[in-house]
Amino acid sequence: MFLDKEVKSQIKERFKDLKDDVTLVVFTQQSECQHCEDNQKLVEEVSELSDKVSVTVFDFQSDKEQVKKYGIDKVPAIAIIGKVDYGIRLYGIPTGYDFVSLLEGIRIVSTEETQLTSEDNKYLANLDKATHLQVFVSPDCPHCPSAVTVAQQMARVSSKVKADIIDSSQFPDLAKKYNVSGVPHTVINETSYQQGAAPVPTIIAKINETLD
Amino acid sequence: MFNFSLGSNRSDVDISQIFDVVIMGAGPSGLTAAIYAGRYRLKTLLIEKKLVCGGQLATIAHVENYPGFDTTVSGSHLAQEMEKQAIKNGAWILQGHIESVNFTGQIKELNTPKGVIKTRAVIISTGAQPRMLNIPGEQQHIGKGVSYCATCDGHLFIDKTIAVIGGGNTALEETITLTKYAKKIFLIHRRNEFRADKIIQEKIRMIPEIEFMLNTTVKEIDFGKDNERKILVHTKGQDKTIHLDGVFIFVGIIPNSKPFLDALNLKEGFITSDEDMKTCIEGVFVSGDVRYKSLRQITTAVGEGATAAFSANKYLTEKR
Repeated sequence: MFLDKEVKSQIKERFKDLKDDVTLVVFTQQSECQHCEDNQKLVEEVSELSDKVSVTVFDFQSDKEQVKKYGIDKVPAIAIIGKVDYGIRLYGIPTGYDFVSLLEGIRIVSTEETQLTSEDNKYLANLDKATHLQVFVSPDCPHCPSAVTVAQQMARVSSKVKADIIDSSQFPDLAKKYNVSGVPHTVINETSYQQGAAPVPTIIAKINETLD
Repeated sequence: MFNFSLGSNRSDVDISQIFDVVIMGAGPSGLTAAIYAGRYRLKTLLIEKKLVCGGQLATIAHVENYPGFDTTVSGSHLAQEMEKQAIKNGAWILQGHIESVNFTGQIKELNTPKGVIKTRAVIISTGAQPRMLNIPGEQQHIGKGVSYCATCDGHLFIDKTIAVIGGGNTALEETITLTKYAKKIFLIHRRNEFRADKIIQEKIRMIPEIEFMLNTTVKEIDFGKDNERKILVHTKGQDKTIHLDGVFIFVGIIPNSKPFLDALNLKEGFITSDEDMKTCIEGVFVSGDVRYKSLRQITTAVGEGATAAFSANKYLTEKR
């Protein structure tokens, strides 16, 4: 058991505000995945705290069709699915401040409440090109949840935006590939990046620069 | 074993009401003020711009000088406990930031993206953020090898060579945190001795991976060509190049006092007050790192938070 009684009751209280049902689609692997088993157990514990949250588990190696459907390329992975698939994924077991990303992801997917301004929403409504945000984070980074929710909210509102949240300590090679040497670090469409917990308008400006 | 942060508990609060006290910033000082104000049964709103409470405290791996806790408490744990206590005592927490303030009337107004928040008293505990060295190459390499947060970014420098710049408690404590990851650390300080507490200095001198460079200034960070990272330092009367993978900078703080520049008296950017945390405007109090003072510690932040709440309560009682 990962979550103590007090933490569970706090989460239960927060989950009272959930509206749409949420399915946490977990991808796991039997061997050579240090945290896959723990990740699954953690997500199952979280799902027990609300009738609106359920879990489906797939195997990364054998459930090829599901891997393709959800676009999963590494494990452990969690796809946070609401009424539809908004394209929000978490890679790595979400501990420390990364756990905030899971809870906020569930809330954002389940409710329509975002902190986005009407201008942000207008931009996202007109966005017609695929935008892939990869937010590199770490469990000990208190600045990271702010960057994560920016990406998650944008994905919730626009079907063009996909938000992958990646724990850089569990995927060091990937962090190296993108030259991440500080978190949060948001990679936009493989080609550009934004460092730090930047507000939505900064990310939008960066997306514009990248798509041009 | 894993730990789990839940992030800030957003309260379901009607912000159109007039609050007794609004506390800006949920670091240790603001959280303590919220605990005390809640216990006075004041209508208390705590506003935090980040998704998680704790401010600078949340970035500290090990807190060693907070009474009652020995070596085991992390800053994030301490912050979360303080937050729980604030909520338990009746304070509301709102995520948002202050754009501007109007302190001229009896009712103070705070402009936020969510609307105007009205309150009878205000406690400013907006804290501070890391100061930059302001040398060539620093700004453009933030997050690209230049960092101000050891707990956030340390794991990205496993078996690497890094430099830590600074000579105070934070610099030395964070150097110790970074020895968990880096294979070699140059600890660079411009003076001939460290400012940090003697006990930390004693501890750090036992660590073989650290090379001390006193009387040394860093002139440039050059992480440009072919990913070859180096810094240019001036030591023992001459310039020297050091090849490394990253630089962590802990050279003090700058106060988060921008929204109050016009309204309050400031000294070196910090808000001035008397010993009861009263600023130059009636009903406006200040506590923690944003306050002009000589010692900035978690212990002094919480003490001032309590005093600020006490003074706010006294002010409100006298006004009624």
